[in-house]
Amino acid sequence: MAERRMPVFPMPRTAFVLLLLSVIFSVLPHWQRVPSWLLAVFVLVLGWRILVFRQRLQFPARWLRLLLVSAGFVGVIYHHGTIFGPEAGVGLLITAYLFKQLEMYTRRDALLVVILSFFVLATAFLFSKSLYITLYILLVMVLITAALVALNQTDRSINLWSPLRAALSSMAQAVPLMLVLFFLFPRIGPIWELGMQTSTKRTGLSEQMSPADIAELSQSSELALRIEFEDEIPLPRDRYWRATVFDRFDGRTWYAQDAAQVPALNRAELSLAGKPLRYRVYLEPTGQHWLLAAPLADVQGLEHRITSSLIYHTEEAIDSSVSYRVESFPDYQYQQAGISRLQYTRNTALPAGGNQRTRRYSRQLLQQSNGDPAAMVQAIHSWFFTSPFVYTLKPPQLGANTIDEFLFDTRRGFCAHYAGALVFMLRSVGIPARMVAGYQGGEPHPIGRYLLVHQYDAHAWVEYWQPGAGWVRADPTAAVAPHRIESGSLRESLQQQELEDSPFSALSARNLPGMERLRLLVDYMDYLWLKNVVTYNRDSQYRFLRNLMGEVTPQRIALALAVCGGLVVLGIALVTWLPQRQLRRPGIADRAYLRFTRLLARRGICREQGEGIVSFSRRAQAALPEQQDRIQRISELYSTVKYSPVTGTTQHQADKNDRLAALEQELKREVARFRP
Amino acid sequence: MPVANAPSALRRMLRQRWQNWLRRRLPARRRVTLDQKRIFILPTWMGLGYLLTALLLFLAGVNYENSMILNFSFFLGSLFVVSILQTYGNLSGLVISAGHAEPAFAGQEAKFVVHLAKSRRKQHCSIYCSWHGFKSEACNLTAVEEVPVSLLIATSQRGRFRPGRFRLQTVYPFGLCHAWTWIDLDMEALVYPKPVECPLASSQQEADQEGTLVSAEGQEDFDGLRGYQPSDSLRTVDWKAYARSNTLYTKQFHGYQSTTRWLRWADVPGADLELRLSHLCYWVLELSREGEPYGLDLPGRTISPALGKSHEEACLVALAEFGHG
Repeated sequence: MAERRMPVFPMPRTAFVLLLLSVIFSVLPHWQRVPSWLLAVFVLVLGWRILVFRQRLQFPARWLRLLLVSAGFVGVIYHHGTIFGPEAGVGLLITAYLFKQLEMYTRRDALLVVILSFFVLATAFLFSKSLYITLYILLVMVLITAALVALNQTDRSINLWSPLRAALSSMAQAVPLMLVLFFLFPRIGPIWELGMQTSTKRTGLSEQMSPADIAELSQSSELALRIEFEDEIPLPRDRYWRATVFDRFDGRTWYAQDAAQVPALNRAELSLAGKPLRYRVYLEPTGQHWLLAAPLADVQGLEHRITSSLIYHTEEAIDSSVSYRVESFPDYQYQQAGISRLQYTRNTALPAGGNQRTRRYSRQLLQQSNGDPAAMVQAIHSWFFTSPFVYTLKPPQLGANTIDEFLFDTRRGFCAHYAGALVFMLRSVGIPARMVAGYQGGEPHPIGRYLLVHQYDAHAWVEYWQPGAGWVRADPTAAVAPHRIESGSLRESLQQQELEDSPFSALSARNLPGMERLRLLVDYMDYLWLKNVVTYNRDSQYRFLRNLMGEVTPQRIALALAVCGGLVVLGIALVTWLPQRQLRRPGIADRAYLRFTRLLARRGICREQGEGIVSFSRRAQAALPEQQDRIQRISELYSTVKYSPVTGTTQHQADKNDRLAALEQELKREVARFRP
Repeated sequence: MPVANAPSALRRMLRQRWQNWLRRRLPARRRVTLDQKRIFILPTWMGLGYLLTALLLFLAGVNYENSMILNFSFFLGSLFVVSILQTYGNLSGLVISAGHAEPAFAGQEAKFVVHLAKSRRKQHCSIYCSWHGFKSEACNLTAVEEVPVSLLIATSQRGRFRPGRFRLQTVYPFGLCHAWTWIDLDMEALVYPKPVECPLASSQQEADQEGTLVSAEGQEDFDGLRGYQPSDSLRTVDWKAYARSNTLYTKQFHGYQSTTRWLRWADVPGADLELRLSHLCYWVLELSREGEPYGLDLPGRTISPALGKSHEEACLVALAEFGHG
């Protein structure tokens, strides 16, 4: 059966180019999230689309399109393993969007692609909300809007700038109204629950972590969080940002506690003292359920529960940037009276056998410390400090008895190795201990009063329990690589050849002197954006409105919205309807002729609306026979200047321009001499 | 059946009311400047789709508590508001004036020319005129101050044809809103009867004084050339001379007006008034083509025999207006 070839509507060239660019740039932010074969398909499809536009090829037949799009869907679902979640959703959306390019028969199809472009573009905000992605999206919106304008333009003589200009001016008009809506439109809470389970593998601490994972994190200069302080930024050695607790060890790997299973904090076991540290955390998406804070913290502005292991656990995973206010009490004491049997069991559990040398040595150290946990920790620290232990991000492979081999043979490792070994030693003699993971340190920003905490600041340390004192922090890394803790500098803790592979390598572009300042400036802009715009939510809106209007009532919000919105719309209306400035200044000829008509009008000879030059001239000649010749001459000159056809080569054109200029001058003289 | 008729009667009544309302609100004028009371505006289907997209993004923004997606939806909404104002502004300030109307034979299309002009220094793009099924080419008032638009409107009945209101519409710049207005420029065109062939009884020919009258516009013997005048038939233009000199000349002939035919109402058979007019129309055209002088004799209107384009037109006008005053 012959496929019926549908006629394709003649899309203006400008619209085609703009639409193509819109498609490319709308999909671009997602290129890392879609399966790589989809990118190849993307190029092929767009190539096909271009050939159709150049009339070298037809759109594929309907059955082929259906086959392609179904195959695409199956491929995307197979790639993500699910149809739920933003990645798979965006993947499916992009697939449909892509194959829609091969079905653009009517103007309606093209308009649909434009609307889909807006949708695809907006989904980029699911994954990042930084200032820079916002600027990018704004630019692509100009393209999409221009494509929409171009689709509605019928003047074939226009160039690409015309729709772009129209789009820019319309968008400039839309921005004020958008701002009014953004700040004043009442923010409502989620209408229904949407689990946003991203499957993206994010850089950062994860729930299951072998020491190697932290080493890997040290290679990443990605931003983990920003911390904005109300007062002084604490000293580097006090910058411990606690995330989660690793309390199960299988001989090789430490496992994070499942905070959802842990009972809630009992406030009675807590005693807070000292001056609180007040700050606000801007946390980049982690994909995890924990919040970062210095213990012991009061977290406000984000729903969470505190477990008895002091994890700040949120119901939903942190899949987008969040911010919350914290009040920390560094001098806290917790559970100094005692811990439950369950807690004791959990925090002293070890695999049954193995690592015998460590166990023996631990018992020996405990005896030397007279059974005092603090003294024993001190002894272990001194041992780490005095013995040839090396801090390195590239430790050698460990065999079956990981702790034994690390402590007595290789003696090379980084924070997780030392913390793990310390916990093992304490547990082996019955002292409750756990590994704590989070970030340590941070880079104070030179302009803003905030700390930049990067992934390479990821750290693991230890908390052990001591009767009478409760849980106490111990950081064996401080004994091995004091710089790492004292100055918060991983750089100075590393040896030369390791530096070259790390983010601090002098070869890395970010460490060029100019680049460093630029990087910090870029970060500062993004921080301001995050602080003032992205995190604007119900609470900040409430505070903003309260400052603005005192008491916040629905009536007042509605009034503010109506007044501001109304004023803005009125402004746009004025801009739209006021006469646009004339693009061409009236030429010499026009001005001269206008003068001529005015002179005649004084004698009662008015040019009618739409009256031609010739008929007006005849009328004027009839009315003023004595001026007949001059009127005739003026009319001839004017119509020659105005209506002589524009053709011929450039050379001809230049000659003609000279001739026209001469005629214009003559016309001007004639009018000047004209005295009706 | 009254039950079945009730809705259609209601529809008729509503339509009548609508038309009356329009007549009061937008009375017929020869020249109309579009202002707010004349322009109607509604979203297009695409506009509704766009709003749905904005709504979906709004819901996504609310549910994911994603302020940037929320803001994106606000932006789309704001752009829609701008689109309303701009689409409206694309029509407002436009001056529409009646141009000429070209007559047609019944069943053919009459051509109405209207002029669109700027009243302010502002561009107007992609404006269409439409009348029932017909949609004109798009008009762009960007570089020019005024453009003529031709509306080809199918006629069915002989007589004076008043098309009434036509629509002026635009979706520019975004295609999201559709602004339109109804305009009655009080134009009319003559519709000639549809020519219908019939035999003309030869007995109706009248012999005139034979061979004495020299018709100035005969077509038999070539006399010479004279300057072309707009009323001259293109058939008499000397195209070769035009090719040589780029000036139009009309070939002049003279002929001996041997016979004069009278096309008489009474001589056309049939009882149907329109059909009889159609027959007469046919012969007016036929005789004009053949270059034979003829006269038209209608009840209450007589046109003495002559030849030429203006005569032909006078006869056709008489036929068109017959019975319509």
